[in-house]
Amino acid sequence: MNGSRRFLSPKVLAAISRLDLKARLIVEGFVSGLHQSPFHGFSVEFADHREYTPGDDIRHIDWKVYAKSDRFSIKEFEEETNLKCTMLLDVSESMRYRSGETSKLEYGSVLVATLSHLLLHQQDATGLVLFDSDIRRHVPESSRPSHILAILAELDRAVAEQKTDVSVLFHKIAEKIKRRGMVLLVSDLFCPVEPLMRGLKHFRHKRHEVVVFQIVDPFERDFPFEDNTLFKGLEGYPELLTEPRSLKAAYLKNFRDHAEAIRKACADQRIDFVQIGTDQPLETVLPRYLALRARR
Amino acid sequence: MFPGFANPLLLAGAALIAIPILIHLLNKRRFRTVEWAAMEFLLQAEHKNRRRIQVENVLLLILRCLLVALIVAAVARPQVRKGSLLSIAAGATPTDRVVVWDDSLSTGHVSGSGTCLDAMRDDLLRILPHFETDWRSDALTLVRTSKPTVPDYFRFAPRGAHRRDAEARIRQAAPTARSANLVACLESVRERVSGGAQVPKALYLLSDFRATDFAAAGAGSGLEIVLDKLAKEGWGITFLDRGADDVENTGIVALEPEEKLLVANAPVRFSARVRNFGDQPVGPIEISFKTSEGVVPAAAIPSIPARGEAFRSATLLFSSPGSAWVEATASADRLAGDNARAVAFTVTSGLPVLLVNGEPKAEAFGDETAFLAFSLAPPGAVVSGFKPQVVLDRALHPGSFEGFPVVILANVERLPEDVLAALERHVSEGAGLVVFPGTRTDVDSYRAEWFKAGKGLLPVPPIEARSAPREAPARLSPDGIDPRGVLRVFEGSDNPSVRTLQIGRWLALEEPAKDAGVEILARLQTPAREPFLARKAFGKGRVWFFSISADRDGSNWPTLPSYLATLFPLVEDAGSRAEASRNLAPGAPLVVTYPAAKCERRIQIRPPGKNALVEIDGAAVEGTALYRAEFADTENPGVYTVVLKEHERGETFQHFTVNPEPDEGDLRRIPHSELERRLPAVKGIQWVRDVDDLFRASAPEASEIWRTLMHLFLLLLAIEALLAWRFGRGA
Repeated sequence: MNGSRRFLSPKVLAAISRLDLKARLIVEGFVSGLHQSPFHGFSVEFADHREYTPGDDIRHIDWKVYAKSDRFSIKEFEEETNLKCTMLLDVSESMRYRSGETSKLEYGSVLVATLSHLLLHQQDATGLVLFDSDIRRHVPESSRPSHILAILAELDRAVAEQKTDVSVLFHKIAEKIKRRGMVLLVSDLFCPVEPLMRGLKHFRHKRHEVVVFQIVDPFERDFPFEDNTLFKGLEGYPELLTEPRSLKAAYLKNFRDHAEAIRKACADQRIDFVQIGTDQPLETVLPRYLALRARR
Repeated sequence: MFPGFANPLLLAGAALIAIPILIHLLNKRRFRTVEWAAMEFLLQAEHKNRRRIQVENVLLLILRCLLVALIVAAVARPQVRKGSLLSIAAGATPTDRVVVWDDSLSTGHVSGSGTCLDAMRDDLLRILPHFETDWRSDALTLVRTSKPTVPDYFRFAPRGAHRRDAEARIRQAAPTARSANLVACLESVRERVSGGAQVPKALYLLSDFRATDFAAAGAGSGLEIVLDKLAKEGWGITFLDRGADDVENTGIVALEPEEKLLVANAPVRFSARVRNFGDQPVGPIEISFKTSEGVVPAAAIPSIPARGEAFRSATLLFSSPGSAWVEATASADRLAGDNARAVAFTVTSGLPVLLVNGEPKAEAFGDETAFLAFSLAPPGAVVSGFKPQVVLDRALHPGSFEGFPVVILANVERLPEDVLAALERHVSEGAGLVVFPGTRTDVDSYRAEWFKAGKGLLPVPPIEARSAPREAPARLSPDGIDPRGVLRVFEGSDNPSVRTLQIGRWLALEEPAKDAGVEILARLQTPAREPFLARKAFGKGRVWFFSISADRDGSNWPTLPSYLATLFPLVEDAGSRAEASRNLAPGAPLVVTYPAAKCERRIQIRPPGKNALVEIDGAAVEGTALYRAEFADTENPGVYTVVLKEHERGETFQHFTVNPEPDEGDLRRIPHSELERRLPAVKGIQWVRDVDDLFRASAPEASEIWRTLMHLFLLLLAIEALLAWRFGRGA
């Protein structure tokens, strides 16, 4: 299926059309587009030279070229925003689960695509990392409008098959991202809290702004099972035959405690934590979140 | 009923305890399969709660098995010994205690210091206090055999003021003139009390256990059937025998006129039959007669042998026609109730006989009723005792039959529907009907309307008219004629009455159906041996149907002496039935019918031994010109005088009598072993002679605890539901 049709919903896009995703925390770089830099200089990517014309900023004269050619040349730079957003999408096997029409992976993919579209629309750069126990795909950040197609193509190809293991992975990704920017994690977060938070802390240590979107299925959130059920665990977990009603209370406590622990830990790190159920329409959830961010 | 469980076979239902276990095991095999991502949380939850879940499952399983066990136990109705710890824990089970006491006439027999009924009364007064002690939670039903369907008390608690009221009523009880209808009594008890809740039941029968009360007892008898039903329904049955060993008694067992027709100013003999029920000869016995016109001095029967009878007669004269009565009284003995007997009857200036002429003719002795009228009331000084009145058939109307105890139809072709209906009513109320066919007889009408497939007046349907040649007429067969019957004049071989009777024309009659209740009193000597005279009962009356006519058309009979000799006893017999309804058994309703045009609606009745009159308004009888009044309080034996107020004649009287059953004076008791032998299907009857033995012998030993089990079941069901909800599992 065409990725744009699959992951970019006109309804969702329409819902966020008047919103933007601003970096909340100060990022490096000069102001270009929507974001402010604390520094006067800027760090941009060199694109080309042009002949000096009176009035150009003499700070941009490439003296090495002058030395060689005895001509004054001005460095031309790719106009780059300060916001570079890296989307981390969990494609582990657990993301395959669905109780209704939409799996967590599909929902997450829509979320990623929508946010990518938003960022590109506001001329920010966005990239994508698909991960499970390792990095499966990496689409480097770019602010070109056509970059959305690359992102959508990867989303379309994504398959949830492997186990989750973020204990080393996030550190690896953190080292890969050179410039400060935003890291948006889209996952069900079905992993131990400690290694997860260590990874997220690493991003924070690197001065990235981190937003965590936990995607949960309504059945995982509410555990509505009644009759005898054989639960076959994904990601290599053993199966369990049980009367769900007898475990419901304990399960929900474990589930909520886990989410609460992550939320608390995120709050301590000034990381936004948003839990979204796949039964919640994104056109309602996302605008709400973006508006909330905008008010802060 | 077995101690332990009332329905032990239902304990097999204990196998149903396996059901919850099976369901539990089967549930483990039925499940849905789900891929699950959040497995870690589930496994943690399972690990933490594993033991708790196991305990909860076991607890619910035990509860469910216990519920099944409780239901099975409850329907098996376990019984525990009364007074045992378990019965105390289970609570007292109320017992229905039914006392049936015999207040028939024989219980008035004096033995020792009191009567048998006095002894039973004392027993009852000693029973009542137990309802305030060890029978405190039980209920009493008290029934007398004289009122089997109307208990004195029904399921009531004789405590406090109620007990005093019951004692007062028991003290007032007296022997009745009735016989003890034990079957009706026990059936009534069974229906009334069995319909209630499933509680233990005890039946106590207080009686003198006379052999005649149990004369009909035997295998398959009504008594055996009802006792067997009671035993199978769990009743504890106790017989308290209050009969005395002294059985000496005499009583008047019959009082009858020797004539069937009582005519004014014609002497008639009345005979009182006295029976000695005892094992010793008795005598002398003084017998006195009293009539509606006076008293006859007593005369003695010198002696009556053991178990023998003797007669004492009196010739009486009644000066005027109308209702009359005679009462015979024997000298007092230890049972007063059977020492008197009365009979009511009508003294006539002649028995009115309605002759319906179906074919009037002008010639002398030519029409159908000429010979009948002449024979029944021949001219001259001698009073025949009959007053025939002739009416043409076409002049009949529904009221024509009123006042005629005997109706004779002679060659009547057919009757209008309303007249036939009135005739049927008249006969069913006790009148006699004699039907002579003739040349005008409409066979089809007789078959369809008079015979009515056996439901009508005629005993048998006619077939067709037949004849015999003059030179060889048909004759009557003397075979099978009852020498005491109405045709007794033809009885015996070589009887000239048979030889002289020549029959040229007759109406062939069909043979009656078996079990139709029809008697063929004589037959013709024809090849088919057709019936000559058939008789059947119709209600309280009877119908005679001849095959020959009453005139000379069909035979020479009216000219023969045997004609008169047959008519007299026939009409007497036909007219005598009307009196039966005036001599009643105790408790039978006294019914008076009287002409509405002649009398006031209100009548008065004087019961025996009372001066006060009871007033009753009669009710009009539909389709007739009569009133009908019914008086139900006929418990006391003796003469009941009904006073009618006629518009023209003033007060006129009708008399009725109530007499006890003749064998109520037979005081011989039935041995217990004999009664048990004759009721083989009835097991477990306790016999006691003393009321104290009653409490020991018959008190049900067990009390049922099924109610407690059901309460426990409901409680556990609620607990199970609550726990299942609490544990998060459905039932």
